[in-house]
Amino acid sequence: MGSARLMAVPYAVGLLALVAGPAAVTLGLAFFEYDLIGAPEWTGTRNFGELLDDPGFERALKVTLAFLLLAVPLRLAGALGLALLLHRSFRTAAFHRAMAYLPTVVPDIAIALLWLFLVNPLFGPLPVILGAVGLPVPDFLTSQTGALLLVVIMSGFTIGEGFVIALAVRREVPGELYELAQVEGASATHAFRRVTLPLMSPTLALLACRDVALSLQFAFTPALLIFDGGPDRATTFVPLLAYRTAFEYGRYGYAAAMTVASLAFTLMAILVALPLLRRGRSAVG
Amino acid sequence: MAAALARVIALGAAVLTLAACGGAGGKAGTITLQVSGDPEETAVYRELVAEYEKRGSGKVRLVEVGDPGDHIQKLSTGFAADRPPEVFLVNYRNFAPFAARGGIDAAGPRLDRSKALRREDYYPEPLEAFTYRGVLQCMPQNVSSLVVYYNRDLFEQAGVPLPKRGWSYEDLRQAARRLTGPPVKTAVRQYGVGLDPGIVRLGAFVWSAGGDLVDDPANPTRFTIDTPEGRRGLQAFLDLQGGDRSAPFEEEVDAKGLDARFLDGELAMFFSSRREVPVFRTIKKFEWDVAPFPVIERPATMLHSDAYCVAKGDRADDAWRFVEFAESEAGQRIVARSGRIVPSLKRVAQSPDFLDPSKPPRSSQVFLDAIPTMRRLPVASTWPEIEDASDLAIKRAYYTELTVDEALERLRVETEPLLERARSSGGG
Repeated sequence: MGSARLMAVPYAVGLLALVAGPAAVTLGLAFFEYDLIGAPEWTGTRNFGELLDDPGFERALKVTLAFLLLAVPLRLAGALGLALLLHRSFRTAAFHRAMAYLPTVVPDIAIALLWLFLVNPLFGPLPVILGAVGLPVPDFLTSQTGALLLVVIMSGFTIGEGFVIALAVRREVPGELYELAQVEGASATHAFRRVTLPLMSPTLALLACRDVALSLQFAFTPALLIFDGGPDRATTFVPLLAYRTAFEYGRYGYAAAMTVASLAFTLMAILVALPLLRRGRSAVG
Repeated sequence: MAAALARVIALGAAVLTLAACGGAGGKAGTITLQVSGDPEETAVYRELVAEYEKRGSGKVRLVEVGDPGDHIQKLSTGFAADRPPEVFLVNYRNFAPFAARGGIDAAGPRLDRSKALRREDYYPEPLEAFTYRGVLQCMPQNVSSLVVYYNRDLFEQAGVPLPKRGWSYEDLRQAARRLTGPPVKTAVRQYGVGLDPGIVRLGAFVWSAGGDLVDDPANPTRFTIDTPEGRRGLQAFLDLQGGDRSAPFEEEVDAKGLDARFLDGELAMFFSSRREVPVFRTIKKFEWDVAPFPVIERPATMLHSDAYCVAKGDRADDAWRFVEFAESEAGQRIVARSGRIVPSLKRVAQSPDFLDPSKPPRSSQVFLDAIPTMRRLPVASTWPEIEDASDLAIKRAYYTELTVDEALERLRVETEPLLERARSSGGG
């Protein structure tokens, strides 16, 4: 046990220095007006008050919520679906699992630039292929809905970590339960609803909580690189707005308040998922 | 175990300390110069730095940042880390926040004491643009303006008269219509004119129509485009896209940018500033030139100017020594020959280093003729945020074909909260 604690020390130091420390500084900064050049000026809760009246922040919050409502279920469904497809052992299982994970290791910036090429209205393969088969070409780059959908679709490919966790949990489900269900005459759908899903639901709930935060992190790069927050702010999510407010307009205190509000928002989403987690655990017993 | 734990913590602390020692800041005596632009634009600064070092004046570490937005962010984080570049090149629309926060070592007092430079040798227009609360903050390197780049070959092939001095907005509009080709399925359509919609472009249209952009450029509290003259300028601006369809649609511009279209001979005219010249000088397949901003009611154009700013700090004197070289006749000639700037030093602007007709654009005199008619955007610490918001409104108006009233309303909605915040914080 002693050596286990010792092995955790570098991680703990990194967590303190790179996560907890900056988070605490950000929380403190939210009560100041600070431009990084002059001295910070104490403003109390004024930044939070301004957030409540800021139409830009309200708009970013709505866009962020819309993105999460679309992206998180998509990513969860994708991770679960791939886990269900690839949990059995077959000759090329390792290859397929690696392919499912591969997009996750590609840097976000490479993914963003690749998609920018794929959907280019003049030169992109996607419009060319869709046009060739007579399908309508979605207006990804210049329509607000199209842009949001594109970021959601892009996020659906980087589900490697969720897939690995779902795969591990699925493989832990005792095979005897499925044999019993088969003996009882249950269909595959019934077995999924009555065996697989309840036993995996605590993990899925955790993945959902994790994905709320990860989806926002992922969305930052394509929103900045492909759309620059547009068209017409359709992809100006809260993290991008906070980034702009801090680094382009020099209002670090206000940006910190946005980040704190965003964290509170994420925690609320997790609290909503907690009852589901408890219900799933008691079902397993 | 306690000893082992202590060793691990000590090792971790050493690693973090070593990591923190890296990063910006060079050897003693070396200053950092940060610039932004395409590689063709920034190449000249390598030449400038090499010449400065060859003269034994000091060492300079050049940092080239591709994107202007990244340039500002890198500056901000540099100031935050208390390690800003000693010298940085910045547009007059973006320097005020740094000046307002006391990050800049003002150039005015140094210029007045300088034995190498004299204030009266420089065009006053960019000097005024870089003046904040009565004090010159940075030394302008150029006095560029908004002009019209045109593809001479396309004009001649279509039999359209070439743009000339004093040409009107109607001349441009007719030329654009005639030079816009039919839609094509498998190739890029040729368009007559292109501009990036934003306040930096709209301003010249409003002024040329006799209107004003804001109530007080020193301390703007509201946009004043809703006068008859301002509305006329805005209508002229919107008509290029919505009215005539002589300019590419938004999705077409997203697919292939305007400068790329001009480079490939697919755009007959392009509104921009001098900064395009280094890249456009790589064009081999057609001839191009520049024309003045077309007249609606009176001649007008928009000032485009960058300046060398010195960050406050221990190396400010070394940094100023570099600025003195860069702003001297020798330094300005180096940068002028690249085509990147309209020199702010009068005698270099009026010399063959800038006006040489053997290097495109042949009509560089257009930039000098525009100086008396140029106006500038407001200089305020909150202007970058206001400009972003107004650009959004103008872009939507331009591409979604809003009417003038709808465009003005959109501009009001986007910018009013920001102007109100600027007012209540004392502005400037």
